[in-house]
Amino acid sequence: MIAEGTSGAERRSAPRVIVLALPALTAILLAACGSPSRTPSGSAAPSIPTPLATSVQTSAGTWATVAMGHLNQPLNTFWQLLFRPAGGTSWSNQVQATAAATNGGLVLASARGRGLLVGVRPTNLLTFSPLIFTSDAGRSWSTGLLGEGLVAHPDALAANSASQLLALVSARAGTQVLSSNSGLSWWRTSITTSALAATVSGRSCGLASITAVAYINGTALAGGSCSRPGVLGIFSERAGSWRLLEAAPPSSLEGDRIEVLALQAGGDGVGALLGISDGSAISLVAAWYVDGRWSSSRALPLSASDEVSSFGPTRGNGIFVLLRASSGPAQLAVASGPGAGWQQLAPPPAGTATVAFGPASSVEALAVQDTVLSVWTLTAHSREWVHGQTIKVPIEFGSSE
Amino acid sequence: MSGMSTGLEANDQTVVSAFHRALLTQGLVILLILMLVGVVWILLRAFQLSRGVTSQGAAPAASPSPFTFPEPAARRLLRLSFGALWIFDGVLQSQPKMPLGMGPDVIQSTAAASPAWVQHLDNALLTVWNYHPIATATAAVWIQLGIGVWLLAAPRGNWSRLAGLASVLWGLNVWVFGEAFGGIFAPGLTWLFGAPGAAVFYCVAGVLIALRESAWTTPRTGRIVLRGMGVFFVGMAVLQAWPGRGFWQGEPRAGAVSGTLTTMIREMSETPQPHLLSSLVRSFGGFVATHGWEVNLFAVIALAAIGTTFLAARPSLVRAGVIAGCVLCLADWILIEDFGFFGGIGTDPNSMIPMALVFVAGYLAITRVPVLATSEADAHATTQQAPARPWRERLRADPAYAFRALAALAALAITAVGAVPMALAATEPHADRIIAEAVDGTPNAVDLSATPFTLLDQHGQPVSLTALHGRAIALTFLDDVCTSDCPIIAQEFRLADGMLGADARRVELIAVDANPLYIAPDYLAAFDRQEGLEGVPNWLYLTGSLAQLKSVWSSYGATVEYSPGGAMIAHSESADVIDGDGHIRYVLDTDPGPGTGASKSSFAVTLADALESAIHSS
Repeated sequence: MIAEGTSGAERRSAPRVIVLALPALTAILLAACGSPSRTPSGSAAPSIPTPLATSVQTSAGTWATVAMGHLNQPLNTFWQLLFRPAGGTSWSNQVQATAAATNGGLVLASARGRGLLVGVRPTNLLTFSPLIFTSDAGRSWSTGLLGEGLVAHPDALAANSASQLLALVSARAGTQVLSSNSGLSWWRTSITTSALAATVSGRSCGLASITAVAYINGTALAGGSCSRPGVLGIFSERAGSWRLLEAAPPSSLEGDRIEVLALQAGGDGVGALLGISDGSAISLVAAWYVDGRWSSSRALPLSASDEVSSFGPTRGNGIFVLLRASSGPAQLAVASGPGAGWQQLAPPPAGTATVAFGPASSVEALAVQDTVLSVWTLTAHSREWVHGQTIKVPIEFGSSE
Repeated sequence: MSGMSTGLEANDQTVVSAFHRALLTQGLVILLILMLVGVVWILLRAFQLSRGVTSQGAAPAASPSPFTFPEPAARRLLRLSFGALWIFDGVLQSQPKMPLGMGPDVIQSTAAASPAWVQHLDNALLTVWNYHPIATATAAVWIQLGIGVWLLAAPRGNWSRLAGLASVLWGLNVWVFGEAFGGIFAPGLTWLFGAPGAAVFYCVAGVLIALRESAWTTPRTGRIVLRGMGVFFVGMAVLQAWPGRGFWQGEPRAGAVSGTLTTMIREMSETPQPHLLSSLVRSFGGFVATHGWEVNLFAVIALAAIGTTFLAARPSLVRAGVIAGCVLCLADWILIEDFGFFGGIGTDPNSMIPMALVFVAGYLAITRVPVLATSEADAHATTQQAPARPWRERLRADPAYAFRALAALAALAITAVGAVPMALAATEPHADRIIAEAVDGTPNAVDLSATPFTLLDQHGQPVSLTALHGRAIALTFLDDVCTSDCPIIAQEFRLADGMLGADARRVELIAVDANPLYIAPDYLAAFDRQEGLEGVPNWLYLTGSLAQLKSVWSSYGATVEYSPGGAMIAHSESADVIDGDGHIRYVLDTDPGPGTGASKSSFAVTLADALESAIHSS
C-alpha cells in the first residue's frame, strides 16, 4: 500500500512560506537581540585605592600588617600582624592574637604611641568586626566589638587612648563614624556620611565619602573625598557638631579635587596624605596641620601604571608612600615633615608589601612571597637593601572556605 | 544562580551508591510489573485462543483490525528512531554522575548565558533536582526509558498517539528546564552547536506521531515538515552569517582572541572521551582556527542551500537537500558536537541526529505515501479507520490490539515508577537526607550520660543543663567570630527548629562558645543578630569564663585551638542530641561541607529527625 512518488498539487504557496518564515525570523531577531552588547563601565571606584598594608609605631615597638598566601584568592589571603619590639631587630608574628580569620584584612591604630588597637575586618559570612587592644607589647590583649564591619581603609580606626576611640564602619545606611568614650565595646554613631554631607560644611565640600578618622589633641577628625575643587575635606567634631577645619588648604591645591587617603596624629598636629586630581593627572601630596595652619609637600606624580601599595607614618611626623609599577622596580618616597619635599629612597626589594622605620635611622622592607616574609634593611645613606630575617608563616590554605 | 547546587563532587560515592540502589529497587519493581503484564498477556491470549482468535486476529465474527494500510513510512521512522533515542537517553541518564552533576554541569551551565528570567525559571527545576538528586535522576531514567518503550511497543492507534503526546510533554520539559530553551535567548546561538536544542526535535517528532494516521495519507504533512525545516535552515544561515557574532573569525594568530567556533570545539575536545575522537575534534578545531572565515562561509552556504531545497518541497530537490543535510548533520555531530554524550553527564546525542530524522521523515512523507484509492469505497477504506469498537471487545478479539495495549500499559508503568517518586519529592520543600549523609555520614546512635554544666546565655542569664531535663537538646560548639562554617551550622539548627513545628516547644537548641578569646555575651549577641537568631525562642548561645568553657569543651570532647597564620580558631564540628532524661542519643557530624541551600536543608532534616527521635525516646 505504499507508493513511491507524490500526489496532489506541487505548487509552491508563497503566503504559506511567509507564514512559516515569520516565527523563524522572530527567533532570529530574538537571538540577535541576545548577542553580547557593550555595557557601560562603572565609575564609582575611588580614584586611588587605599591599601591596608602599613606599619605603625608605639612606645613598645613597631607593628605592621601585610597580606600573605595566595593573594589572588580572597579566602586564601591571610593578613599577618607583625611586631618588632623597641630596640629589637627581629620581627615576630602576632596574628594568632586576633583569634579570628584575617582574610578581610587588619586595621591598625596607635593609641598615641601607648598601645595598639587592631580591628579585624569582616569577611565571608562574618559581618561585624572584633577588636583587640594591647598596651604591653602583645603580652596581653583586651577584646572589643564593632557591631558593623570596619571599612577597608588603613585609617578606619583611631585611638586617643584605650577608651577614647573612633571607627569607620560600613552599615546599611552607608559609611558611619562611630565613637566610644568607654572602651572597646560601647560604641555610638557619631555621624553618617549622608548626615555629614548634609551639613553646611559637607555641602561646601560636596562630600562624597569618608575615608579616614584620627584624633588631634583629643578632638575627633574625619577625612573624606570632596567633589568641590580646592576644598580639603577634613572635619572636626566639637560638642557633637562636625565642621571643616577652618584653615585654608595649601594654596598649591587650589582648583584640584582632593581626597584624604590617610590621617595621622603626631605631636600637636595631624599629618595627611592627600590624593590630588587636576582632571588630567593624579598625584600625592603630604600635608601637615600644625598650629592652625596647613603646609604641604610638593606633589608626587603618579603615572598610569603606578599603584599605591602601602603608606604610613615614618618616625616623627613624616609620611612614606610605597608605589608599585606594572613594570620596573617599586618606589619608596618619604616626606619627612612639614615643608619637606618627597625624598626617593633606594628601590625596595621585589615583593615589598610595606616598610617600617627603625631601628635608629634605618628602614626595613617587609617583602612577601606566598608564605615567606623576608625582612630587608636599608641603613642611613646606603643605596642597598640588605637581607636579614626570614619568617615562614604556616598558612592554613582552605581553612576559610 | 550562585549556590544553586549541592556543592558535592559529581562522583560522590555515597550519592552514587544510593542512586544505584534506587535504580535497582525501581528496576525490580518494573520487573514485577512486567511479569504481571506478562501473566495478564498469557491469560488474555489463552482466553482469545479458547474463542478461536488466531494471532492474525481472525476471529470467527470478522477481522478485528481497524487499519487497512500499513503504518506510514515517515511515521514508522519517527516512532522507531525516537523510541530508540529516548531509550538511549534514558540509559545515559543512568550514568553515575547524573544525580549530582546534572544540576550544576548541565542545567545551570546551560542556563548561565541566558537572560535572568530563563535562569529564574530553570531555578525551579534546579532546586528540585539539587534537593532530591536521587528521585529526580532515577525519574529521568525511567520516564525516558518508558517513553522509548512505549513508542516502540505501540505502533498504531490511540496508544501510539498517546506515546507521541508523552514524548512532546517530556521533550518540552527537557527543552525548557534542561536545555534553557535550547539557548535561543542566549548570545552565540548557532545551528552548529545544536540550536534550537535537541528536545525541540523530540517534540516535533512527538507531535507528528500524535497526529491521526490519516494525516500521512497525503504529502501535505510532509511538505509542512519540510517547509518548516526549510525556514529553520535558512534562518540559521542568516544567523550564521550575521556579523559581529564571532563566527567569521578563527584564531588570527597564536594567543589572539579565538572565534566562537574555535573556542567551542576546543572545549568539546577536552571532554573525557576516547583519544581517537578527541584528536579528531582537536584537529578540526585547528583547521577552524586557521580557516575560520572559510568554514563559516561554507556553513552559511550549505545551510541556505539545504533550506532552499526543503522550501521547494519538490522530491528531486528535496532528495538532494536531504542527502546534503544528512552529510552536514553527521559532520557537525562528529566534528563539532563531538557526539554529544561523552564526559559522564551527556544526556542525549545532541540535536543533529533527531534533526536529520525529522527532515528525512518529511521527505518520506512526500515520497512514500499510502497509495490513493481509485474508488470511493476504497478511498474510504484507505483513509479512514474501521468503525471503532468497544475496547473490551477488541481486547478479547484482537491479539495485536491486546499486545499494544498491554505493552503501552507496561511502558506507562515504567514511566510512573520514575515520575511518581519525583512528583512526591517535588512537593517536599526539604532536601533529601542523602546529601547530609554524603557530607557527614549517618548520625551515630549512642547512649551516654550528658555532663551537667551551668553557663551564661547571650543575654547574660545563667543556664543549667540539668534545669532543661524533660526537653530534647541539640548541643553544639560555635565560634562567635567564625567566618565560614559556624554561621552555616547555626542556620541549619534554625532550619531544623522550623521543621519540628509544634515539637520545637519541647526542644532546646544550644551552642557553646568555641572561641577562647571572644567570650563576652556581647559577641554571642552580635552573632545572633548576624544570623537572625534573636527571634528563635529556644535558641541558647552559652558562654562563661575561659575555665568554665574549657571544662565543657573537655566534657563533650570538643577541641578548641588557636590557629597560626591568620586562620580562625580550629574546633571540632559535631552536635550531640540529648533526650529529656539527659542521655546523649545521637552524635552528628556538623561539618556543613559546601554549605549550599541543599546541604543545609538536608542536614536540618537529619537533625530534626534525631531530635524527634530523642523527644519520643524519653
